Amino acid sequence: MFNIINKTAIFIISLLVIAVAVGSLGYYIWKENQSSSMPAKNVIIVSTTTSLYQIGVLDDLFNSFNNLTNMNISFNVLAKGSGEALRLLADGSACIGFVHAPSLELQYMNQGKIERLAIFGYNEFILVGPKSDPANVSQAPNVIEAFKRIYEAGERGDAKFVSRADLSGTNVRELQIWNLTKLNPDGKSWYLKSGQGMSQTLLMADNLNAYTLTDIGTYLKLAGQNKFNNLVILKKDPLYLINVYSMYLSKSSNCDNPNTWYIAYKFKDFLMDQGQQILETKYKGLVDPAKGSESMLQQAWETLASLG
Amino acid sequence: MVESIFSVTLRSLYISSAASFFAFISAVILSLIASRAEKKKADAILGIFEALVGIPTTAIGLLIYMLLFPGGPLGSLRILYTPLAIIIGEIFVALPIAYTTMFRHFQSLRGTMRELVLSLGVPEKHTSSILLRELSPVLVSSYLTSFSRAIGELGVALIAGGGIEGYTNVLTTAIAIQSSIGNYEYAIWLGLILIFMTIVLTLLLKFIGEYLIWK
Amino acid sequence: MEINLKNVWHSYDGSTFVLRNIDLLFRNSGVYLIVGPNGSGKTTLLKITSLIIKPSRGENIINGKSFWSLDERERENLRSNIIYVHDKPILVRGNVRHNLELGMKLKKKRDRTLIEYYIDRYKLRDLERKSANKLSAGQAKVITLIRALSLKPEVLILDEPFTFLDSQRSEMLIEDIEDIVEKEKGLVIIATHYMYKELKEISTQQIEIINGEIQRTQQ
Ligand SMILES: Nc1ncnc2c1ncn2[C@@H]1O[C@H](COP(=O)(O)OP(=O)(O)OP(=O)(O)O)[C@@H](O)[C@H]1O
Ligand SMILES: [Mg+2]
Repeated sequence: MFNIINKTAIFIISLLVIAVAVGSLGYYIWKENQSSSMPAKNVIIVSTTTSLYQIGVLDDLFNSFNNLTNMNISFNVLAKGSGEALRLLADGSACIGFVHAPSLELQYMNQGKIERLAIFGYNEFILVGPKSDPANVSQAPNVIEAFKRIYEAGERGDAKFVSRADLSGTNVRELQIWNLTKLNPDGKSWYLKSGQGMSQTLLMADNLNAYTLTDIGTYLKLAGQNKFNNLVILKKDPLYLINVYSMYLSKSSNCDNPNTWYIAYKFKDFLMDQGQQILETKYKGLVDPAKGSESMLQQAWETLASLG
Repeated sequence: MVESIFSVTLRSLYISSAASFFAFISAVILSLIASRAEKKKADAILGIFEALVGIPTTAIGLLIYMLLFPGGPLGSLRILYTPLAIIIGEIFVALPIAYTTMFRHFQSLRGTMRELVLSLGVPEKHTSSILLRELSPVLVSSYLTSFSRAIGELGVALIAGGGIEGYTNVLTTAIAIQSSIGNYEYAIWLGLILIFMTIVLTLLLKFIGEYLIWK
Repeated sequence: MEINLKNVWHSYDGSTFVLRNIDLLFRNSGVYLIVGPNGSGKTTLLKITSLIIKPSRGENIINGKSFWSLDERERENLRSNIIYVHDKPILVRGNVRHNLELGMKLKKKRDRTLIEYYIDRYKLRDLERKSANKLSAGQAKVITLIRALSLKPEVLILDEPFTFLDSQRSEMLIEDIEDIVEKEKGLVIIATHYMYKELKEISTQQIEIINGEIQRTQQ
């Protein structure tokens, strides 16, 4: 049989060789990466909102943590919207999570699926839009009023609004504010759903001359890279637009082992101590430390969670 | 902070060549078996696979997630968010395309090759090896199609792999994640590499095939 | 070898019978000619005789044993002595040399002297390295014939062997057939529309088949 297919055999073997060569090379590189950057025995899966991932603050915190404790934990980061990040925590697919969607957080907490370890930081959401500001939101007394103006301008055909529509923390907040206006933009032709991350949504808003709600970190980062032609900050609101970041531990049986808990609590201790200094010195304005504003943040969290 | 393009590329190659290789082998075995079955049965199987070609990879990714997450039936294997999870998912992505691109050829040629073998007074079991040799160009292009499909898919890699940097981040997840945080330049580079690599690999394998068999 | 078809019927689709009630005896050593109009069932009959097709009804008795009720091993044994050459040549991917050696490779035979002999005899030396899908119809036909001849079968069954062949190669083929019968005491069965005088002279029996039934046989 083999003498008849010798050439085929050679061919298939060469296919195999390519597959294996490429495979092992890839494997080697992967191992290399594993052992050089994180010679880790302990792997812990972390789900986080894309905003924290993008700012780069988590990587920084993880590295400082490993340096400080000599623990060499490998934090495998899944960058998702808050909705998905929380779902992964509830499933036990990830054990630690960093999110900013209080109402969703409350839901999962009430179901007993996750446990809050700390509120560790905050920043603010801002309403951004075209310089010309056709809905005149910059003159509105608060963000609820601003949203009402956008609605009216939208109905007139003068303004557009881009929603992330992905149950991210930002999107949840936007929906809460629409709720407070008692107006429902869903299905309107001027109300566009991007279904994408914050940066893409911002770029979309810039290109479409539309308004959108964003966390300040992502906006400043892109603005710093000169990515916007026309998008400016139009409205801030210290009452309704505060953005609270919390750290959670999954209560799934998958994460229910002393090792994971030890790491989680150890990291929480670090985060609330040295971590706060890192936020203060390096990330001021992007993610402000919670230290010193604990009761204000707790109150804000509860208000936001109850908005549903 | 961003992982080097080189290691993302290699990881992509390794994961999708493994997945397409297993998908390809299974498709060949399935085709050999099904081409001996009754025509009606074989057509029914082909119909199923043809329908499966169109399934969104995100759906397959979710399915793999539901199987592998800690509370799922295979949760105890603990392979969610590993390269292995992506490989498994991508096998299901690549298998239907591999099968549908090769099966008709098996079906139409098996009869002739069987007669050839029998007419030479040789046992029927030799038909398969002759058939495989005869179909080698079809097999090459079938392998390449399934490889391109595996390396170019996003759903499974993102949902079952998670796009973890330094571990399960492949070209498509890197493109998705980097563009979701506005890093379009990096994402474009990855996209160009993806295109470049599939083209080079296709030409390379075609050339090897030509050299060994076509002449 | 002795091949005996007993009450053979065959249908491809399960309803119309293209062969009906065939009783034939092919004996060593001899040349049997099968003639008949297009579509009369010659090819079908030959494929049944060469154990490629299992008849819908009836028996194919080889050396006294009913072939289709034997076990796999015995079947393979008997089958290895019977070689059939298709009317439409079947060649595989690769060059002429590979195609010529195909039978030997599959049977794990090492001795290539016969192949060399026939290549020279049929003047195919120049074609050896040519790709099989670039051959003329006659070239392809000769190659499948040599592939069969060089296996030196006890039973050689040829379906329209002279189609596409030039007169010189046709004569050579008739000589070779004669050799098989006279020297090797083999059995040759041929379906053909070309009734060469030389062929008629060496034939043991002529069988005429019309519409799937044997019309007459002539010694
Ligand atoms: N594979 C097949 N499936 C269905 N019908 C077939 C098949 N092969 C042959 N037939 C039919 O069986 C009948 C006999 O065909 P066969 O090839 O045996 O004729 P033949 O005598 O060899 O003709 P020719 O002189 O043209 O070679 C024809 O009516 C043909 O259409
Ligand atoms: Mg015929």
